[in-house]
Amino acid sequence: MRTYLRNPAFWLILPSLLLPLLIIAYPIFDVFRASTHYVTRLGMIKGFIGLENFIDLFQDPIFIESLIRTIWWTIFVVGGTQLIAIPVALILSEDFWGRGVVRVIIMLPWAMSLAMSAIVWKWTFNGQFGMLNYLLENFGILDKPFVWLALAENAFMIEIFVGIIVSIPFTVTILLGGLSSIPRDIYEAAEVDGATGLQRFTRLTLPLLKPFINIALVLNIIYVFNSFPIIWVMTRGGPNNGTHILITYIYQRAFEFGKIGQGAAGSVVMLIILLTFSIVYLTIMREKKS
Amino acid sequence: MAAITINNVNKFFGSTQVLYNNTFEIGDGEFVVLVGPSGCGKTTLLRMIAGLETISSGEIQIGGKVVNDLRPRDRGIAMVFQSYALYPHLSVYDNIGFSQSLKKIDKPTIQSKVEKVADTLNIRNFLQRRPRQLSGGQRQRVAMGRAIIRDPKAFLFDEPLSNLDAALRLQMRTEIKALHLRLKSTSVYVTHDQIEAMTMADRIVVMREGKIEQIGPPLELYDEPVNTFVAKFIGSPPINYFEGVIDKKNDQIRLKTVDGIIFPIPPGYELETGLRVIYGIRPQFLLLDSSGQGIDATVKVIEPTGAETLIFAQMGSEEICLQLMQRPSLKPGDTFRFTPDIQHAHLFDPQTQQRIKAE
Amino acid sequence: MTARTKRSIIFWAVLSPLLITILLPYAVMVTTAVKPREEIFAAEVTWFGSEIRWENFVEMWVENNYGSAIYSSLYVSIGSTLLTLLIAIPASYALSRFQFRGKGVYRQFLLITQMISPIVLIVGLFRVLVTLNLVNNLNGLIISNSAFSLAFAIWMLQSYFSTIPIEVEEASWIDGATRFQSLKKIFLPLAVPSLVVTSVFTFINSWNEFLLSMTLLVTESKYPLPLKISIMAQGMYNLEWHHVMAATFLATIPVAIVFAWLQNHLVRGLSLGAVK
Repeated sequence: MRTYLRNPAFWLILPSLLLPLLIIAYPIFDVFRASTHYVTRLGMIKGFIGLENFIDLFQDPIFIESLIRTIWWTIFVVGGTQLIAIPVALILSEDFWGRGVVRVIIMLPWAMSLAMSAIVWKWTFNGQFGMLNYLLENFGILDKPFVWLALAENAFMIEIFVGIIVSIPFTVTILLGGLSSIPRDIYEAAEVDGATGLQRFTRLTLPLLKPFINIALVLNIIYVFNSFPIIWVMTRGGPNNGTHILITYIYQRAFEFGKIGQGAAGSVVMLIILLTFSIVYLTIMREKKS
Repeated sequence: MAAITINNVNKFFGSTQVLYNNTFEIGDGEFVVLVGPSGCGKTTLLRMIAGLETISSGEIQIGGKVVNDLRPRDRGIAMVFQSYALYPHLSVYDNIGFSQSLKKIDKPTIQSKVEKVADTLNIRNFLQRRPRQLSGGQRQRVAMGRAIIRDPKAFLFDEPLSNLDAALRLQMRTEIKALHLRLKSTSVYVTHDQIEAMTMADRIVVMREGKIEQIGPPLELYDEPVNTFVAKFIGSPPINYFEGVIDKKNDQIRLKTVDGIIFPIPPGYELETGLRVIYGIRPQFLLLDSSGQGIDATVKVIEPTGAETLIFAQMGSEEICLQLMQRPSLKPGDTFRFTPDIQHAHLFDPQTQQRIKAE
Repeated sequence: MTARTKRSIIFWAVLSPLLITILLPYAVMVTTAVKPREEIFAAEVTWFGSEIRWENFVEMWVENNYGSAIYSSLYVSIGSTLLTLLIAIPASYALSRFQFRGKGVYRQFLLITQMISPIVLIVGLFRVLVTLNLVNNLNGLIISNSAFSLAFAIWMLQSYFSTIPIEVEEASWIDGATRFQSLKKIFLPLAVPSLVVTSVFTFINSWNEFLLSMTLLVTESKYPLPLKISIMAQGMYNLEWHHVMAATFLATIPVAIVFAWLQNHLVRGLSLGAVK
């Protein structure tokens, strides 16, 4: 312990340990605690009620629906993002006219607040006055305005679409970083060795890119699983609770219906899912290494 | 200028010991080279003199003062780093003058000092450039200028020539030595290149795995290596050496190699028959023999360097190297005969690796 | 036609659906923001209005107390950035310069905080801030934003700091500089580009933050921009979309410009640190 105190490095990193402990670590513990108690609207913990909050949640059909929908949400958004981001990154790593411009445009969604992106897309998809309807009518694809966000299934798909768009910049950035770390000369060596373009891609690029695809996958799964603003702003979980994912439903129950204890329980469920995912992922990674 | 004393210095990194009881002195105005293979601790020792590494135990004195607890800036030394470590965001002028500006010396004085140093090193024309605009040799000079302007008690060099190409290395070697002679500066120079050590040093400290193997003037190390490591490390091409057994014929002791080849032994040794020894002789002391009496060998590779010819040959099961001033008409595969100039042969104990001294 | 030109055409063709999709909201935002109100809700919807009504911006500002939202956003974003830098710079310096036991654990700790989003913790975080009496207080937001930005800032700063060779600092110590002088005259000037980049991204992250603001703030006058605009965009009827778009425009465009300018630094910084 004494050697820690004497090492100047300790004092330098101390604040960066304390702040997250306060804002991140303690609330985790607190969420677990609150989930087994009755909590008032104002956040005061009252009585211990065991697993009652959890039971209430799992007996709530909307909660179960939200849980399942969250899984679909994650799969579609992350999958769609990866499918688009990989070719985009590959293209951006090649030299061509206007590459810088394309790069800037692809990055733009990152600059906008998720909430505001959602608002603008909501307006674009507006049933009566939205731009999209106008464009589609103009091109003859529609003959009358379509109320996109009226039905939950449609709204959900649109939200998935928006989720993909806003996740692309981050994923492309990571993949570009990975591509830039691949030395150029191994491609030349492979060409001399007789490898075709496709072979160079499958045998050199893909395997070397794999760690980056993995990191992007993991981080995206975590971010998307937790993604709140898009669904909340566009449909607020409706219509008819038809677009709720776990986090939006939990939030609504906690802060709009005042059931903070249940909100805590739902958060615990989410944390456990994330933790399980991380453990499974790390185990698979460790096995791969050996 | 000041003398430097290293007294029983040990260094630990965590629980790993990297320097063992190093003790030696560097005289005022002396150019001492620390040389040895990678990892031998020479750079660590240099950094401990500079104050960039702590001293685990023992004492280092600069100019008679114990500096163990002094920070680098209070030790009065200057250092030239292997990567030069120039300040990338400052001009050459500001790089050199940095130390002076810290001491709050007035601008005109700084200017005259910087210009004087720049003239000495022939870099007056680049004073306004940034390091990234300079070539390797120019950067090296700036690094030296930065050291010189401080008029330090001693100069420390950490492999300053490793990043230069061969031709430049040769040139800078001479320049550094000339500068040393002119400034009469105490210098500690670290390198892994034994040629640099031989050509530049007043005395050489040969190190291996944290221990000092031998200290002495270059020629002393060359002619009288204390063990096989020093004998092999110093000198290029390296010394020939092979094992053999002491044999006696007609009251003359001689060496018999594993293949039964007989090597004469210089006079003055009292050794028992059957004793195993290592025979060492430098390539230039193996002479071509035309009288028919020599030792047989077969040419493997010939390297003509212009001024001399190196012959790598197979003698029985051993490989040997001859360094000849002539240009013999030999080709790979040819056999020839040679004799050793036994005045310059060394014998080493295979157990201790130490050189066996003649009585 | 050179190979490069051919390539360029193909690439642009392939990417154009994506590019159009990304630019569409910006186009919608801009055109709606300057359209006269009547024409937005008209029976015939058109792309461009009959005129450019800059007055929309002024109306929007006044009617919605936009100024207070800008003030809140600026206050929180600048505060978060400063606090984050204050904590991250020493930590990054320590990571790139010092050896200490538990370095790996520390790094993993940071990685984990990066993976836990405020959203999952919101219930617990809310209670913590209630206890600290920081609810409905912009300072509560500053502290929270900083905590969640720390890992990213340390990651970026540390990878840049490691490219500054320590020999340059050592040379300055030998030249006579104290630790402090060396940091001020040698290290900091060389670190400035990375500080700028990191501050900009921390600022943008805080500027765009939504959930924490929504949960922690009650007084509408304290709402930062994303929250204020989402309030403006609620409700099914009588939505002043031209105002909403004007508000979004003002909140987004300056940030987008700065982001566009600096985004390749982000790629470099992340790729330096992402190779693990």
